[in-house]
Amino acid sequence: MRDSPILSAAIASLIGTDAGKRVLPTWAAVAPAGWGASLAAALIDAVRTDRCPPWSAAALIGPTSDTAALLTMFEGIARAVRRWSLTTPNDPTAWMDALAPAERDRLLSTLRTHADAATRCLPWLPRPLAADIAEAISNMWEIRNALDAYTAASPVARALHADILAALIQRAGWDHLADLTRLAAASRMDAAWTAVAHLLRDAPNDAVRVVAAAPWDALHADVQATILSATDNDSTSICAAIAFARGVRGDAPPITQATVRAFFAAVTPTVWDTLTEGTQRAWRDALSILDAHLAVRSLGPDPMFLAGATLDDDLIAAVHRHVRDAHAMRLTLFPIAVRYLPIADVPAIVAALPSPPDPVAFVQIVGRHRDMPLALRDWITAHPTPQALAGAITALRAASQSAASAARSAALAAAFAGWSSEEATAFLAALPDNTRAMLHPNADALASALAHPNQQDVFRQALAALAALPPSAALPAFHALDALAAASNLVQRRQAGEELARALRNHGNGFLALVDALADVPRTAILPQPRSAPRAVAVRAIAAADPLAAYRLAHALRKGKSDAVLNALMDAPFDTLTRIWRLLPETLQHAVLGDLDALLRDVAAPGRVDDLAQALQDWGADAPLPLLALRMLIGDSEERRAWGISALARRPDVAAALLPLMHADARMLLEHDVRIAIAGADLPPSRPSTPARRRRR
Amino acid sequence: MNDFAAKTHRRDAGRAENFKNEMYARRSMMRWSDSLWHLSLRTLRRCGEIPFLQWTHESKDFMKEVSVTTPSSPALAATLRALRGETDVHVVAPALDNLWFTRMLALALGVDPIIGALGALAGEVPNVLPPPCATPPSSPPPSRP
Repeated sequence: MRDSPILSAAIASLIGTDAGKRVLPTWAAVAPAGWGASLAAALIDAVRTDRCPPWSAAALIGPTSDTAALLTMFEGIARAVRRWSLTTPNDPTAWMDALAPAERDRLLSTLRTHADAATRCLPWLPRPLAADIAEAISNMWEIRNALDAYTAASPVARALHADILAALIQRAGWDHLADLTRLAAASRMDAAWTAVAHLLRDAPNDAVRVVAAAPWDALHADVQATILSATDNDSTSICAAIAFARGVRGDAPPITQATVRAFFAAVTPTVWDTLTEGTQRAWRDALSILDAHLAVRSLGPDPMFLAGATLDDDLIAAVHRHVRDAHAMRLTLFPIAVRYLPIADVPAIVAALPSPPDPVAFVQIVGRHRDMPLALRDWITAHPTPQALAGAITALRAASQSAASAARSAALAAAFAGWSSEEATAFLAALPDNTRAMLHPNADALASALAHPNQQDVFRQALAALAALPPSAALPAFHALDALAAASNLVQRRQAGEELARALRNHGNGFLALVDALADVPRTAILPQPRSAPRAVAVRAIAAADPLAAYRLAHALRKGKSDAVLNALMDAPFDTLTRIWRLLPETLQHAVLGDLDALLRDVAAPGRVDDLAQALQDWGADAPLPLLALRMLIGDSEERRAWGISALARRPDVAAALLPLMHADARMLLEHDVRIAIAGADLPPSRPSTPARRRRR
Repeated sequence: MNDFAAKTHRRDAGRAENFKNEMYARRSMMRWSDSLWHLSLRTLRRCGEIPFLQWTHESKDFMKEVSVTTPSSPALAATLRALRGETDVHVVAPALDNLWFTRMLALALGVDPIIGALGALAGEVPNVLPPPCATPPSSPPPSRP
């Protein structure tokens, strides 16, 4: 695939774009040597526009004086040198011959003064310089960098630096055991294995680093024997756990974070299968997400391990040991990728996927459930459609509370759209108790946390009415109420309030019934009472029609900020706009509209400012709508401009009257809407003005 | 020189201990969170919605921050098109900005192999590069069953 000319052309077409910025760094690490030589100009331009890291461009183009000139940071130099050299395994320092002497010396002298970077490319530096740098290494990180570099280096590079490498191995300590093991496994150097065995004799509990770094079968026989013979000297039981995992010892060691890691790194399928279900569960439940790849490496890609794994190179390598077929490999890893999607996007994406071959495993892995209850298995088997799976996965993700509560509520609303109450009830019944409680909290618990002391029964009745609503409203509403009950500060309470208002947007009476029965603190967070009684009555009336608009308006009135009012107006149903406008204090109305003269100057055709002002005045009681529409039209936000156009499009008579008086730019903007275009069809065509004119306030 | 060596040894031992403590701290955090610590902040910012990282996306306007107005719409739309077989690289390009979308494109069956390969590269998982493509990108997208 890496040699595919089609992929090559696709990547080349992305150079200089934002997408290219994402693709090129990884491509630089795997691309064929000299891939970018013919694209050098484009790549260098991309570096100048910050669309490609300098080292990536240098690595892709290959070693030249032009590419070396791009490298000013020591870390970039190390990366580029490493990549250049890996493409010439038989001549590790060939990159130096391709550079002009001045550039080559500049790179080398920069590396000489930055040991951390230099150790990352040590095998590919000229021997005298590498020896100086290796001798000056002063900390464990630099030894680690160097061991890692020699692990990646070719046998030729290692042979050329044999004495430097031998000295490094001698200096390695217990905290380099994993790096040493990887080096030994990659290079088959006896000296490296001897060092590993030697270090293990002094610190047998560090055997966990060794078995985690390489599979048991890849370890040298001496190292294996050292570990297995240290079971009685190791107070941490790590060697005992490894011996147990290999079937050498029959008595199980205590389960600790370290023994679990060691056990899963070394366990054989035969030993695992002989354990009772309870013992397997005890080991598995103690497995950290960071170590799940070890279980996959030892025992294969079982969904119960994949459910607790994260998608990284370790896991990919672990799966690759058991699954060679590329198609099966992608099928195995795909659910983990789905698990990390933003929850708000899960319903749309999962519903768009083809049905997975094993829906139960798919939900198990995506939902991160190491155990799948029988009832949930049965429900999934009976409902294997992508839409049903989207609902199940969204619900499990929402219950795990791994995303912001607003996103969870929105996702629940989207995932359960079109579900009947009976379908949702059957699904909820199949969930484990704790998961179900997160999605449909207990009414008594909610009442005691949220209801006014005198309104507990009323609140319970409102909850019962809520439960009867369609699941796309009821589930996010319950979720919001749960978040409201758990909120510990005003910000969280307001977020939960907005979620509740959004969830019940089409169920205003249910919203009001709940709000009326709330205690003072949560009620104020959801629907703060305006100070004037007529406004309070009006806000309630709006809440009955649209709780979200009422929520926004109530908070905007409380804040008295024009921006918040504009947001509230944008959310309000069009037929309530005039009513909402009259609710606003005069000062706030003026603040929302801003400088009227400037507004008119911005949108009016040359010489028609007075006519436009007169036309707006002629609309009398309806004036707020066109004025607001024009105000939105000159806003900086795309969303507001769209609202302005849409508002005018709802009144074609107003639009037809205003269009001839408006500036050509504004007319062109408005005429994108077909309703306005038809309303103004008899007018002469608009001509764009000079670019110098701005439609900004 | 001996003093220097002893000092260096102590410093290294201290750093090693700090490293070990840090690893344990990180590992214990992973019990209730996702294993994201190894990702750079640049990468984490591309991950989108992660509650404990929301400070990286802080908005001045609280009301805007809490509203869910599908902020990732262009990326989501591009992802959905890719899942339905879109082969035009530039149509799918917005999806390549989100780390999780790119990884999904890299692994989803039914995604054009070239788009999948770009997903693997942008998703920083080149080891899952799909097998050689069978169709050039100019061919029409396959119809979904």
